[in-house]
Amino acid sequence: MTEDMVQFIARRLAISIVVMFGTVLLAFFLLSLAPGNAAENILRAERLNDPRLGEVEIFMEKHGLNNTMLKQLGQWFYMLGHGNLGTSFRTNEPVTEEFWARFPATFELAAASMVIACLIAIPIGVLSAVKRNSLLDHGSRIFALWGVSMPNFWMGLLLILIFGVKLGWLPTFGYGGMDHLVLPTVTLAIGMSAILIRLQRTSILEVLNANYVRTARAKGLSERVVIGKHAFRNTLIPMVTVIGIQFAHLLAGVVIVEQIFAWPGIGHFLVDSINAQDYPVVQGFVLMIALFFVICNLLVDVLYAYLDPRIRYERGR
Amino acid sequence: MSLTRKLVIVGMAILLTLTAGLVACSDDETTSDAATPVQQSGQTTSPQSSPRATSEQPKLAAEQVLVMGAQKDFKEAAEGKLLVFDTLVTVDESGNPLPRLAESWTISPDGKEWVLILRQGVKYHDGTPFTAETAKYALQRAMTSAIWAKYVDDIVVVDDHTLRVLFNTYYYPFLLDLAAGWTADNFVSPLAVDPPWDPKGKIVDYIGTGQFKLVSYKKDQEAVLIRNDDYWGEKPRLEKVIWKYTPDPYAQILALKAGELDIIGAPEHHSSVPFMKVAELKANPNLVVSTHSYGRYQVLEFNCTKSPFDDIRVREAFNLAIDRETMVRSLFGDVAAPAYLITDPKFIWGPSNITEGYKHDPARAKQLLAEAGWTDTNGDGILDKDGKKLEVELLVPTGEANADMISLVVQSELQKVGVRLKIQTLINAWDRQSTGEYDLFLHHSLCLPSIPGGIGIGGKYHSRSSWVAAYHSAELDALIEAAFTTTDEAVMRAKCDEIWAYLTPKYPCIPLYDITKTVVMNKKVQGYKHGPTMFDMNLTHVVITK
Repeated sequence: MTEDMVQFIARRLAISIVVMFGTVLLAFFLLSLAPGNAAENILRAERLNDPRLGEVEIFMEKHGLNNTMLKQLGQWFYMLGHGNLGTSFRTNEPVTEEFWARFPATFELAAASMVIACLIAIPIGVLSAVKRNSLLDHGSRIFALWGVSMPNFWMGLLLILIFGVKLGWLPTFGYGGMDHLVLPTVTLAIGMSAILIRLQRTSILEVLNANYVRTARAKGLSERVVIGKHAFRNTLIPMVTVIGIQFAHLLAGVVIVEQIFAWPGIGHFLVDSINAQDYPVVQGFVLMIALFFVICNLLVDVLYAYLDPRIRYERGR
Repeated sequence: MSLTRKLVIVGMAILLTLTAGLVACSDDETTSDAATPVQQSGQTTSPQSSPRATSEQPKLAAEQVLVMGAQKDFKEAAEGKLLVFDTLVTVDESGNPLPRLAESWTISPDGKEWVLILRQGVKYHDGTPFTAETAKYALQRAMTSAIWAKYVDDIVVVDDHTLRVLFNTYYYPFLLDLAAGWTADNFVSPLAVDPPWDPKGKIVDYIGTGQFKLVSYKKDQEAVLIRNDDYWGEKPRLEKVIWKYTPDPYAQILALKAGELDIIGAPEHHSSVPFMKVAELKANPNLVVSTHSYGRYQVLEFNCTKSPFDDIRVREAFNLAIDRETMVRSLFGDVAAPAYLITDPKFIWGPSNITEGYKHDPARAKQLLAEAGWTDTNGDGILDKDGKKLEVELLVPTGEANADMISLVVQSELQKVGVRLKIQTLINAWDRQSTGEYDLFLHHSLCLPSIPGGIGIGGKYHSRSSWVAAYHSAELDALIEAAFTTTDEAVMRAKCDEIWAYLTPKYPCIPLYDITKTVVMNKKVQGYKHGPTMFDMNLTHVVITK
């Protein structure tokens, strides 16, 4: 690793901290601007009964909700300084515990889906570019259109119906072994691979017109080497960018898929917390998600350098 | 058209057909129509209760394990807490307190001294005996968030099984509040708390005195409970209950059909099984559907503080305009029953003295609106008065059960008498409820163990409540306060009669229908009974048959 690169990473990390806190501040103020009262929301969700006046006041007192927003935010940063993300209003559990109890499941699902999506998309994308307007190309286009058009909840329920209820091959829900991973992963991978197939195809088509491809062909290289070594490698920059962003998005939780497959990830819990205005959870989770977003982006940037030696990380960038 | 284009079109057609075909096969059970009894208010419909089912002796499965689908995480649900923890009291379906950990109780005539006689020989799951000391600890835990904490002067341990709670005023719903499932975990073993015996301490182990012991718990995944063989009351026949967190209602139904869940809808409040799916589920020969009324009504609340609903004739007209029977039958079949009274008369505080409910009479509705000055002067089909059209806004909180369907039917019913209804679904609807910024508000009424019908002190129809725009009057306040500050049950009942006799002709709201609780189970599950409250379930007699 060159010195330039170390400096680049250090600088990016420093900026990332600012980005992370900016995100949290934004989340906090958006949530505080949102209508509704955390105490009432949480009590109502808990019992599906109207909370009585006194109960709301007691809850607010107990959780420091009577303090000004600024004071609450200050307290939160003070706790953060002590390595503490606070306690959920809803569950009374520490936010860090709530996060780490769920994040591994989200990570597993995101990683598996990304791998499957790439395994589907890259070969199909490359082949449909090389054999443009062939039956395969049209087939892949139909698949891509179908894949992006099918909403996750629909696709998920359909897969459960076929493979869980009718055929009985796979469990319909839950978290555990590989068999539990298949349906949610495929549900997510179909939609994602649809996008990646189209991107891969377009990128290959673009570079096939480039001078260096013509040169490679003129040199008499086999088509296999031309595509595999020269064309494909040059399409990796846009692919890695999109894969990186998509992966980071998946890490923020895949609410619908998690809900349908009872996958114990962060998505569903975070949405419930947002609806209940459970500030400590929202702030803590947003901070952690921002952290992973930043890490993903950083990894993508570092990968650029390896993929394309022309990219230099110079001082001042 | 080129060959490739044709191929593309044919390909897409095949995919579409496949998709549509699969959808169709998901609904194949709906083709046969099951004959099911019509549900009456307060009753349960369940094929299991038929005499044929009870006369046959079912063969029991070797393992008595119930896999229960739940839309909430085990520790977030009142129903989960009530499996592990016992409360001091519970209530029957009408609201009478019944003994649980407290065997009996007495109230002093001024209502300020409650003496609770506790059950003897009860042990927590960790072997700690349940005594007056641990019961006092439970009350102290409850007092960190209970509304009645401010009225308590002292809690005195008289002896091992007697507790005296001294109040500075009479607080009628004390026992009802103690029956609530969502606070059942206050009855945790004081040694399972960190620091032990600290009322503000954090529960580290789910150790109660209930029918089941929690043996393992994975957040947002599952909880495994085994039978408490030392239970003080009737022991359940099930050996194990596995609580499976399955938040999506439609995926839950599929898991039930696949046999991965044995029962759904039981550990929820109402509306967790979509009403629209009930007919299909009833027709499935492998499943048993059981619905039960808890007298929880969905209600349209009037803003009685401003025009047009400050006029009693308009409130009556709106009530007369809606055909509840047709609405409920066409939307929900026999799953729910229409409601004609403000609240269910079966409750001990209910309008049992009211013999005639609200009716459907659109002609009379029009006449009343005309008497109130609302006539269609310009022939546009919408009534008007002093140049102002009769347009009202119905505010619906996001997530309110069946709200979309109900609102649309109400809109078309009102259209028939010349009223234009604007439906507004908002996430912050409750904020506007608390400030009275609405014309009509759709919600569901309180249910046990809270006092239903909005008539308690601080309830909807009491002026010191969060419902600032509901119907209030000094006379009504006086009646409510008289009913709920007496320790004489006969006086309370007489005052409740007066309340309903006063309130019913004031048309303070539009009761719509009874939101029933629906439970669906595999036919191998037998003996399930609905719990006394919507937040409770009775697994005592459940068995798994072969």
